[in-house]
Amino acid sequence: MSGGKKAVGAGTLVRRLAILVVAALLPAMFARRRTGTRSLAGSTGSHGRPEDEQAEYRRELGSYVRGVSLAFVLTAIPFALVHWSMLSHGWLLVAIGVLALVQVVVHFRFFLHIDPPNQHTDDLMLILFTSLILIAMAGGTTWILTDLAARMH
Amino acid sequence: MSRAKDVRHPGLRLGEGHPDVAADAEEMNFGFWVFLMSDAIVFALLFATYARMVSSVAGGLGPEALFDLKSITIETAALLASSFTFGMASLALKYARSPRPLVKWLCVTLLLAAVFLGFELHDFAHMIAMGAGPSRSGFASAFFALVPLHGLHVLAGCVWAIALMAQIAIHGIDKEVKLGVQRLGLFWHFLDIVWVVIFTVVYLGGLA
Amino acid sequence: MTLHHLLLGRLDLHALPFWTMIEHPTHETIVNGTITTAAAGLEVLAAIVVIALVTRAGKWRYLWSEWLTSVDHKRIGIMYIALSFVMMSRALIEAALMRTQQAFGLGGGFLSPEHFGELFSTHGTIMIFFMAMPFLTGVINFAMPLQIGTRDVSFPVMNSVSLGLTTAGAMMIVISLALGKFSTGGWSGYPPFTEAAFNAGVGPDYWIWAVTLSSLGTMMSGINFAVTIYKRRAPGMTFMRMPLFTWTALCTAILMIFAMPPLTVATAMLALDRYLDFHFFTNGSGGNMMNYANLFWLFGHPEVYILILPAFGVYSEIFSTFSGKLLYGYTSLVLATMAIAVISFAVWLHHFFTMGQNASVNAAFGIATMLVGIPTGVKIYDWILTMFRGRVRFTVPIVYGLGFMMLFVLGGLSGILLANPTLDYQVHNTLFLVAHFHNMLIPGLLFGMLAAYHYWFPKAFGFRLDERWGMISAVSWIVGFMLAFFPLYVIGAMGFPRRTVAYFDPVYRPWMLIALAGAAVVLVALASLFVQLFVSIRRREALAVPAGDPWDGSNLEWAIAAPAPEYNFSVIPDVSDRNPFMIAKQKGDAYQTPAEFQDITMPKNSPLGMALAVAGGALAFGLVWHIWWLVALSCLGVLVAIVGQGFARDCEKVIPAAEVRRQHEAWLRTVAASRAVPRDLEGEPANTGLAARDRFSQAAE
Ligand code: HEM
Ligand SMILES: [Cu+2]
Repeated sequence: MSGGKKAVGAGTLVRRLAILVVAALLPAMFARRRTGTRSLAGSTGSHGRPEDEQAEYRRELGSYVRGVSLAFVLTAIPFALVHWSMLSHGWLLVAIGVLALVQVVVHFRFFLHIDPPNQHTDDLMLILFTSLILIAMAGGTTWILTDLAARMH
Repeated sequence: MSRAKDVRHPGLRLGEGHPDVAADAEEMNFGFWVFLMSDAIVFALLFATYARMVSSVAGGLGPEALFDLKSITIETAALLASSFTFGMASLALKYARSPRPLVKWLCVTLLLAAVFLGFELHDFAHMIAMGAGPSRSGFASAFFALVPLHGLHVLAGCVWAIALMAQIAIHGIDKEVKLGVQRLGLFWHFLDIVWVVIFTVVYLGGLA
Repeated sequence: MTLHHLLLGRLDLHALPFWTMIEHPTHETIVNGTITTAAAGLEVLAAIVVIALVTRAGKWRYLWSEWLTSVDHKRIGIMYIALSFVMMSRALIEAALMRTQQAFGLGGGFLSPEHFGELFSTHGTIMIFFMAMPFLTGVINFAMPLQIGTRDVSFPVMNSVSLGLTTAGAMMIVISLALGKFSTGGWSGYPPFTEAAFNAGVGPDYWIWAVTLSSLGTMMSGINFAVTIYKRRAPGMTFMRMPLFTWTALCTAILMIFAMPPLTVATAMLALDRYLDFHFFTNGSGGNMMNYANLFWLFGHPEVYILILPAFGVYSEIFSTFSGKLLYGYTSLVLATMAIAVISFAVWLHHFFTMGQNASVNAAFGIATMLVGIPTGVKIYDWILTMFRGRVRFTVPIVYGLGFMMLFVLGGLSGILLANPTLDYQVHNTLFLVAHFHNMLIPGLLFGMLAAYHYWFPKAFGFRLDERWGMISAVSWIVGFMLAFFPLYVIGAMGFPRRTVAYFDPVYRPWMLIALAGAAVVLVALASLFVQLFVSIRRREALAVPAGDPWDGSNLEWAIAAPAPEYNFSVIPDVSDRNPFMIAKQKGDAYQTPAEFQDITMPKNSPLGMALAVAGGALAFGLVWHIWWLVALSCLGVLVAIVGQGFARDCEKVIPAAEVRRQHEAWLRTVAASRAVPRDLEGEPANTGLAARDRFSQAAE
């Protein structure tokens, strides 16, 4: 950790983390309550009946709201962690990496509407296959180039 | 056959209220989705290259000296918010009886994108002024290939949104416009995901 | 900045192929200049002749509305294949020129090293990107939608854009012969050699933009094919009922979707280095040229499976058809195809075993490479067993197929040798490698595509290709290939480096002379292909197969007239098993009149493909020569074309049911008037496309 930032004391660290966790959980709890109406509107479809349409609209709106609040929280945590240098360098990298992964999943789920059990298998297969290739390519590249770099010193 | 009634493609599903698009939506969206996955490979390789080259500063400035977390925070907020406003545009497409709300939300989205692009350009100018333009080092090259490419995608999305609004003005909300908004939505949310990885790997990773 | 620079960038008289020899007349410049000038002259002449002929025949409108703007997958496929034949001719002539140079290269030869470098670079680039890729893309375009029972691909306009971009890329190489010089960096364009510091001229830029255009076109084709197969199969055609060629088309499409991005990334980074002084692959300032090798082969290895899988599909069709048997081991062939496709993403490092990574990295990729041999072996056995106890008819496609089977196994064995890193260190970068990959590409890909050309030609044009000239060509290809490349295994193992213009040890010479003879035979094979086409067009009445089923085929493409109607199927067929047409023939319910005809909606022509071909080509040309106004203008053109397309409405036309009925009934009358031929008479004029059921015809279990 360069740049002259001082590592914060243990007490402040814990306090800040606690606030962040609570902030993260809030929308999730809010989310749990909302899902109740889901199956109802989801299966019947609207067919132009205004009350159904209303319910479906509210459900979808709720999904976007949940998505964006989760996204904001999952963004705020790593930004805060880095800004206040809350963890040691190694753990910091792990933490922001994991949080990014979670956030990617959240975006897939709430914005792109990829929800595995209900998903068309074509799309899911496509995503999984892409992930496989992506990991092979990016991982392989990193492996090979790192090895080469190490052997040049 | 796959033209089942419950069309379940990624992104917004217009549902039974829009029978005109049902036949084409699945094929179109699937095709666009495949394109996005191919685009994801492009970004993945740029990320891998960046990760490898981040230390190749060739005696120049590195990430800690160049990145400004404040401006990144604003960009991120704008882009995340724009994903939400695009979601509102999608809902307007699905439920609203008039084109008004759709156009309104598209405009808000464009505005947020403009904020994002403005701050991003400002960042780039700052880096270049500090002597870390793309030809300074391997690190700077990798940065200026990866991050501006995302920016160009956002710009392309803006052009697309404007074109769609022009189409609405001429043709109203017809089948083509509906399919267009659906695909632009996929594009927009996809770019948001790429940005999440950018701020994690490039900015936060660089400042950590 | 002078006016000249403003208008023409760096394009000036030095770009003309004869200028150097006028300015500095030495023996070397005169010989090389004359050869290039003659070739460029020939090219210009050919262009003028074509334009004159079309004009005299008054066919411009026809060409424009029936072909260039057509979005019919069959026509687009045919245009792809035509492009491929044109480019193949040039690349083969270049190959023969290289063989001539090396045959007389003891102590020098007649070509300059730069000229030789341009030759292997254009030859390699053309063969891969503008011969092989268009050929297989064309074949898939033509045959796959027919096999799955649909009327067009998912995105017909994008299909025509793919063709346009590929053609624009090919045009870059064509133009580079007459204006400026092509790259000397080989088909792989490795930096730092291709960086501005070592190669400031236009050569690498021509290569970069030609390849980038083609790679974008290919990526779109991949998306189109994959979505078509996923979403447009006829009712009842489950995945495991798809013909094997369609399976290989699907796997190839998936490879295209994921393997083209690394190439685009690599060429774009190289372009950034060259144009904007980035440092991805430069020697200094933190550049890392090894990443280029990595990125290029992330594309390059899957690419060789893009090339080979469709050929495997074709062989599966023809071994079964011309043996009068069902395909042996359908499921294992499908699984093997998928396995090959997936493994092909995990072996790319075998192209740079010698770059310096440690032995365990090499070992991992070496083992992965050897694994590919297993599914490939499975396929070979399946094909052998397909022929086993069949009554194999020695038609042209089968001759290609048998040539493939024998030679490909040899090439595969040399590949397994190369997969061993320790051995690779010995023969890396020698002619042994050149022999190996030609051994895979010519019997594998090229023979497969030529077999496909013979097999489906009647469906495209309504008449068969002449068998005699076809046989002459096939045999010449096989013999010519063996003569041209087996010697290279020997001199490669003796240590002769690839891409080498001359040598000083006479032991190589006899082998080089044999290889030259082989190249001559290959040219005969090429010439016979053209003669065959000419002869077949002349004899088209005698070779006509209007009933549509000349080979007693088993899949849906044979269940319709030849040439296939624009809308392919009068009614979309219902599929209940594999080999649907064979079953229908057996049950006697082929050639029926459907209960009801319906209006058919088809996409209208679109000029977008042509617009993007012109704008994309102009963009690339402007970038090569630094003509910035042209770059700006064509960027604008691209933007306007793409955005404008979004405003297009009313892009479909309707073919009325009555018209469909009329054509269908006319075809059925032809069928009724045809005499069914037994397989012995397959090659005779008696074969008008109606297969008799005799004891040798295919049995569907
Ligand atoms: C059948 C006749 C052919 C002949 C006589 C021939 C001959 C040659 C020769 C002499 C070279 C240069 C070898 C060297 O490095 O010294 C070469 C390179 C090459 N050929 Fe062929 N070739 C033939 C067909 C093909 C085909 C059908 C393909 C691909 C589908 C192909 C792809 C290539 C490639 C990729 C290279 C490497 C270029 C480079 O070094 O970058 N060739 N060929
Ligand atoms: Cu390989």
